[in-house]
Amino acid sequence: MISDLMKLVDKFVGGFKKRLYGKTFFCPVCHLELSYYDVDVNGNLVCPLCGVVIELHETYGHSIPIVNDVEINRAQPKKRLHPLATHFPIGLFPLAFLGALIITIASAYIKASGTNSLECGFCRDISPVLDNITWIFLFIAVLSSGFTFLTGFLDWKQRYGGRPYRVITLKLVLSGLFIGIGIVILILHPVVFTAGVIPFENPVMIPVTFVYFVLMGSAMFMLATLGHVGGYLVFGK
Amino acid sequence: MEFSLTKEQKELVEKARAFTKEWISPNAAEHDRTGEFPKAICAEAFKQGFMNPHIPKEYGGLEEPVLNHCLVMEEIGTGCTGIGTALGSNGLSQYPVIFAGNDYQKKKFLEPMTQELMFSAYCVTEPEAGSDVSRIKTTAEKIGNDYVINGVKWWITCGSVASWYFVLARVGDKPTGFVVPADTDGIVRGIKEQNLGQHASNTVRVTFEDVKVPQEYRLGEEGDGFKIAMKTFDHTRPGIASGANGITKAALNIALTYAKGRRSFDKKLISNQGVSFKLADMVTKLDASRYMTYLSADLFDKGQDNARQAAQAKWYAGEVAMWAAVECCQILGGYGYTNEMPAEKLLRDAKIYQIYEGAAEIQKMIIVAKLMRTKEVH
Repeated sequence: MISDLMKLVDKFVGGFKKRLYGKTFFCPVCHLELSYYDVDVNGNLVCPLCGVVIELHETYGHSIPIVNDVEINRAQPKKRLHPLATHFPIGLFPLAFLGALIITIASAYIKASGTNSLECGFCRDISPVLDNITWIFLFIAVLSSGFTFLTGFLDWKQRYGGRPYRVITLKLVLSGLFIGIGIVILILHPVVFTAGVIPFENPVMIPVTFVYFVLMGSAMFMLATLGHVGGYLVFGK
Repeated sequence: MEFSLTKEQKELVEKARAFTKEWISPNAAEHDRTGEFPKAICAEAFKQGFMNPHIPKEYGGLEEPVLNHCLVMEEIGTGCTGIGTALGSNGLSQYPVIFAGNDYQKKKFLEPMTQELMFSAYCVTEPEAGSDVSRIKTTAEKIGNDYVINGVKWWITCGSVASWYFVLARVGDKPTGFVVPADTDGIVRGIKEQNLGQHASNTVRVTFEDVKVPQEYRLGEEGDGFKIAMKTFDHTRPGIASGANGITKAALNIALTYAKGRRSFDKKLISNQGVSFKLADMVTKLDASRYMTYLSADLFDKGQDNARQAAQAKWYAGEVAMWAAVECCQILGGYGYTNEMPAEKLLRDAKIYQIYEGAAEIQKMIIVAKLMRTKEVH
């Protein structure tokens, strides 16, 4: 069952990767997977991770990356702000997601038990507090993602010379999407959670809550992909 | 004497080369790393007509000459011989049926293979009987109209994906060939063997425990099995030699590309005689091996005895492939030793060509046996 699920995920990720990267090869020095799209018109490419200058050849469909140079004096990012900043959204957004999930379960429990039921006292007491914490986490995560985007963009310009690597293009696009979706979630959050609970008495709230969680799920997926790709870009295979 | 290919053969080579570049080479490293059986690639090969080329036309096949099959296998082998073995090994089990099968057997076992993607496997080797096939211990006991097979077959290519097996077993002291459907009760397929190379190929142990086979599935007469199993090799060895030629061709192309691109001591690597002479040796040996292979295939297609030439081609192509893979790694230096470059895989894949379908020493024994019956060599 789990292995079937993993195969399905692998197939999905593989298809996505193939569409984005096209044909790939591995840097023979640091083993980073690189796209044929990353190669310039002269058939050269600087590995974003280890800095070797690769001359890419192909014979019989086999990629032959030949190393003839290395960027020794490549610009290093100042104070490593991007790696530091990136952990705020990666750390806080999943907690906000978890908070929203708990409040939703609590709201459903309150609705099922009856609004005035004594059993729900704890839920009704704790939900507004949790809602506030969740919103603060969300706010910091989205705000810091803007800062992360900015530092990442500067890193790309300095360290990677603004070269249009597919992996960095993916990071830029996903980061932009994450910020956009994050802002929508921030606007939607007070609408969904009124006074710390979801007012399920209002039938409109069910589709609104659904949309909210679809956006949260998409943002989580983007964040996971960004974290994975970013880690891959720093540490290699 | 004609050394050029026909227009159709040239087109076939182009088609196989395009298939190799698009489907095999780009996926070779992945299958080598994971060991996953390349079913999707085989499905595409089946669609493009690269599988089962030797099945007779009356059973829905293409009935391609062995030489054409060699041309295709050389191209595919240049991409990955592990994948090449996966999609070419059907021939080894199909030939016994083509040679010795009756109309019923051919319709039952060969015809479906032309209609959908299916695999079959050649079950001869046993833990105690490799090159010396006569030592096999698997028994087939005649009970009524059935035979009951017991024994263990080892290193069976495509063993866990096959729909049927060609099985060599002893009826008393007579080696006899059978076709056994893989879903017959009593057949146990083992797990995939972790081999040195050709990881995409599926090699397993197949155990037969009281496997009941109707006598209609016996090939030829009781006692014909050894002859059938050996005659098969006259047909398949040129194809095996072509796979080895594919490795040599890949080694040459990779080494040549690298030597022309890599700079060392302020000049291209290929400017050094020590490197360039290796390339000259490679291309010369490749041509020699290739012509031996084509000759052995052509003799078979003309209905002439090709046992010596097939043995020579298989032996020499295997030796050249192994040597070329080593030299390719040497030319690439440290990059020849890393698994992010295709050279080291060639080295691992090449070794089996000196072993399977008769070890190099067995090929020499066949050559000498033929020489002993010759008064003088012209």
